[in-house]
Amino acid sequence: MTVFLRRIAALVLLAFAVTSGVPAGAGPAGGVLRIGIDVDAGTLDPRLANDTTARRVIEQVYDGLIELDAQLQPRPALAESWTQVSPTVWVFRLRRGVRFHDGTPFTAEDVVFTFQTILDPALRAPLRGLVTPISKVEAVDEATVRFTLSAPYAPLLRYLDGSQAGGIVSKRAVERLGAQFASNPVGTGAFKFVSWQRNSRITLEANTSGWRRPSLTQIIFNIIPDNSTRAAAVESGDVDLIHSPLSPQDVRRLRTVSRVSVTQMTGLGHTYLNINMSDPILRDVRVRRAIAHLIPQTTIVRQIYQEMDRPANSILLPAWTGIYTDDITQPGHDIARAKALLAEAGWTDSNRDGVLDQGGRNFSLVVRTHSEDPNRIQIVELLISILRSSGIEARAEITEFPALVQALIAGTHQIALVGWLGLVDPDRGMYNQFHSKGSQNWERYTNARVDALLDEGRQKADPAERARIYREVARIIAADLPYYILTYQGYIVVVNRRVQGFTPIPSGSFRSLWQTSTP
Amino acid sequence: MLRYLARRLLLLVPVMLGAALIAFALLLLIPGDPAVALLGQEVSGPELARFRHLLGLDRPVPVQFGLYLWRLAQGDLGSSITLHAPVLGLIGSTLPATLELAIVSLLLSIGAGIPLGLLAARRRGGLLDTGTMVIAQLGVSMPVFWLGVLLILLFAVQLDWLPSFGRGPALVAAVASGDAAGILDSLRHLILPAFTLAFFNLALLTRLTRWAVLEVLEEDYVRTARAKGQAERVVMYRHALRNALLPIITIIGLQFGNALGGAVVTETIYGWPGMGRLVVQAIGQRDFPVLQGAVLVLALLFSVVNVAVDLAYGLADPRIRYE
Amino acid sequence: MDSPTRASATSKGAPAPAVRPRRRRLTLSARVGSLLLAVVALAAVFPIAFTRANPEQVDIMSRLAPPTRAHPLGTDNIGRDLLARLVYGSRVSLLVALVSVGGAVVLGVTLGLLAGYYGRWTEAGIMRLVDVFLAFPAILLALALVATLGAGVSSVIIALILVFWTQYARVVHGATLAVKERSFVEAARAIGAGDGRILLRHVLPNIISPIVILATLGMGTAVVAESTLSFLGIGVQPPTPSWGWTLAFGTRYLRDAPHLATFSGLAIMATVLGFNLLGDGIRDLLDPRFRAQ
Repeated sequence: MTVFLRRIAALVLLAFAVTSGVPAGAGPAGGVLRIGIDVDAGTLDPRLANDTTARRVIEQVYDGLIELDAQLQPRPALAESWTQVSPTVWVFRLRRGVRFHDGTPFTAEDVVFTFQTILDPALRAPLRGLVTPISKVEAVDEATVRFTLSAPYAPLLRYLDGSQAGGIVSKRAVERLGAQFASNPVGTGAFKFVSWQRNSRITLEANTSGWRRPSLTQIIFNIIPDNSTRAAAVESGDVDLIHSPLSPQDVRRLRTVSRVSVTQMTGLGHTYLNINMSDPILRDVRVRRAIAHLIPQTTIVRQIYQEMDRPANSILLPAWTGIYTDDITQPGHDIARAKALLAEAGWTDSNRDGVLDQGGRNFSLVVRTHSEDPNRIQIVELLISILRSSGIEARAEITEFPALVQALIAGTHQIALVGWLGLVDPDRGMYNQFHSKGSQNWERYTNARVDALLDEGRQKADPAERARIYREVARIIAADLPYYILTYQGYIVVVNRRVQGFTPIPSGSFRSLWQTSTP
Repeated sequence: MLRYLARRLLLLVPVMLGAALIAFALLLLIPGDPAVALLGQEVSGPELARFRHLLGLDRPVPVQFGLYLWRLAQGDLGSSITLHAPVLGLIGSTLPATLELAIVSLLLSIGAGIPLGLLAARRRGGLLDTGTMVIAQLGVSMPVFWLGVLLILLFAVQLDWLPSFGRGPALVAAVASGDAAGILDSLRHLILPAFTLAFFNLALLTRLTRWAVLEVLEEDYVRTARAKGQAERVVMYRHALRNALLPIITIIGLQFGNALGGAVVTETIYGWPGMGRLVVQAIGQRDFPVLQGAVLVLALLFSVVNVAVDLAYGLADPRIRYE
Repeated sequence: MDSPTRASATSKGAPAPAVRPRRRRLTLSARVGSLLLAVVALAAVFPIAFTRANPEQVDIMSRLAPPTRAHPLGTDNIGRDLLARLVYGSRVSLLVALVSVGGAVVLGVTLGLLAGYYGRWTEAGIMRLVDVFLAFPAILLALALVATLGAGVSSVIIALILVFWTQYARVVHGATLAVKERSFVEAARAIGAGDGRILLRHVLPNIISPIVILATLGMGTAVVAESTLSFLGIGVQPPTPSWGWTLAFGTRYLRDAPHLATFSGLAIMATVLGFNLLGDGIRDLLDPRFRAQ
């Protein structure tokens, strides 16, 4: 059945290639690239995408108005240029002569349609929250779009990146295909969609008539859920490229395999402890600091992550150039200081049963994480043992991710080890997390000063101003400890040496695939 | 016979309803929410409420179940919450891979298990018997996921003989089109997962065949046959093998009914694009329509195969009659 | 997830007539099986006999270390003594095996007896319930239940009970039907024995041998099932030592620290082998057709 369909698709494509007179194999070097990836895509509609695989495929098939380079700076994509007319009005001039994969021309109308549908709650776009400050999107003419904001919004440009909220869809294709659009994507990207076998592979081929000429003729995304199998596949040459998430022990071994090269860089995510501020025990900042003092951060990074991740010193990511600084630090590993702080907070072993207590109540603590990440499970195992030996009645609770997130939303957790990914901007990493009205303020943190700073940060475009604002927030967070940032997540790419021209990007983006070849 | 068949098929209705009800009850109790899975960490309280409303999750439970049954009666299994695709299509695109794996591994276990069991029974107590039984014991005591990972390391990574993951072209399609390279590719991908899945049943079938043969050799009619001077070989094949048919049929039922049980693990290890993976993902993401659809399809498959198995008993053993 | 014994569960006939087995000796393999299980039981009851190490003592700096004099089987993923983890882990495996099979036997035998003895609507209701549970994909049932109840030993046990009980119900139902019509049951009824008494004193003893065989083999299945649930990430919660958990983790470190998977896997296999050999032995002993010549 699927083979049959694939044949039909191949025939149709062939016919199309013949009639449109495109020379076969227009790319210079050519080749097929086989990628190993951890999960299947949920949807290939960029407006609805919510998983990393979908984003990796979508950034090949679709373009945003802008795209972020390796330094997270915006550069032109479907928009050739842009100007901020006033603090709340942005005008984008679109690239001319671009066509969607189905041959229809790309116009301002498609941009308007894309953002209007994302903003419409009925679409259920997961990243809608990133663009809600946009109050109006209009087509000024065929090739000009104007965005009007309800308030100044500094991070807007970064969120318009094609792998964030900004992949532009073809209005006509969406209206023509309806629900089928999610599995038959039509974009302007360097590669066009060929086929998708659920839980198996997604195949793309070069878009030889696009505004960029890719070298590869074909990209195959192979879905291989097991980390070790995926590592084995790149090692044996069954796939050409894999990237994070990877297991540290596999990475260490792959470094010794001559067939592949391993590139490691600091990613756009961190792993942290979410500490519930409304918990009667954890409400006391001395207790939170004591727990931070108990965490052997460098040992965890060295032993469990085997340096795949880096020890974090604050909520600021090193990738945020100009904002990151290493002079903001959290409480370091110091068991004596932890004990002193706990005693100061009134937690002593008054009945000599080996467990700290206060007012007749034992110090008991549940540390949660999710079952999908073996590294986090090991860290929780280690923390439990450390907490226990410090007189805290600790136990682990490891559940699947949705159950954990549900507990976080409900605020029924005490401490949870989780992470954030794809933090392209400080606003993305702090606003919703620490603002008292933030949608992901699961730790129930309220601080009027932080609220004011975060609101101000959204309105200031000046880099120096932003650095001052976000550094102050980071300093407050490192002192108050609603979050304890454990590691900066590393981003690792393992590539077969026959692959040329691939540039890894810390966000995990495969944007450079159109310049890649496999001679 | 026909009346028996009709009655068995009629009994499927309450069974399917019961399965649907259990699935529904489990989904109500399970913590976590498809809306959360869908929105991921980006979710907030009010957004969650809006989502739940859109998905109909905020309606009273009996209403939800009633609506589900109503749509089911019209042949509508609904749409996946997280995959944005009709459940029927998802099952239709993953079930063939699971069936292919199940059938090939079944053939593998029959093809190897029965001869081994026969040999072991003939040479009872001998070296071959002991060796076979040791392997059979290992087969039923070794966790599938351990075996699977060991096989990948050996055959795909160390020796580099076989691919480490995934499925080749559909075997049936490759055979039908006479595409030799396709068949080879398909088999190369199949062999490790099929063997992994087969090992348990192979071991079990070897043991059952051996038992069945030993049992029948004790029966009077076999003794009579022997006494009448029939050749050992004839005795063995005519009587013993016929008796061994019963456990084989049982295994077929077990393998199919349980194709998913072992397949979940095997499919995860080998990245096999089957229904087991679909279902595990659906549980992880609380994708209720997919789960319910999968439960119904698998329960139906199991029940129908079991009816067929019971009928096959009758054909294999004339002593069994159906009322 | 399914048990290797459905063959006996579905084979249609009545059980062997309750001939009191003559005193026979266990076969060699059954004795080997008993010995293996005795060692495992000893580890569970007197762990001190095997190791003095503390299974929860973490030494992160020497994680995944190969066997040494200090750690005879090496250390695990956070540097705990693997021998101690496995010795104490026998408790979880045996607990899961005994309680889940025990629970399944109680539930399955009770319902099977009721269905077989009372017939009519009781029978129809119970046997449809059996059909529903049999048809419900076992692994899905277990996954969903553990997700619902939260991971942990008790959830694993409850899930396994609900997966296992049907085979006992089916066997007992069939056997009860056959026994019910026999003369000694008729006789008991004639002298005015109550239903409960008949079921317990006359019917149950006559169907006990297939249950014992099934249960012994089922315990092996339970041990493997526990490890499979761990592999799927929903098994016993750390830091409780568990073989399944160690093996599931060990397969991730197969090439860097093979001792982890090898020793925990061998512990599981030895225990399952013990149950299977013993089960086969009991079968040989109780079922005259399989008597060793």
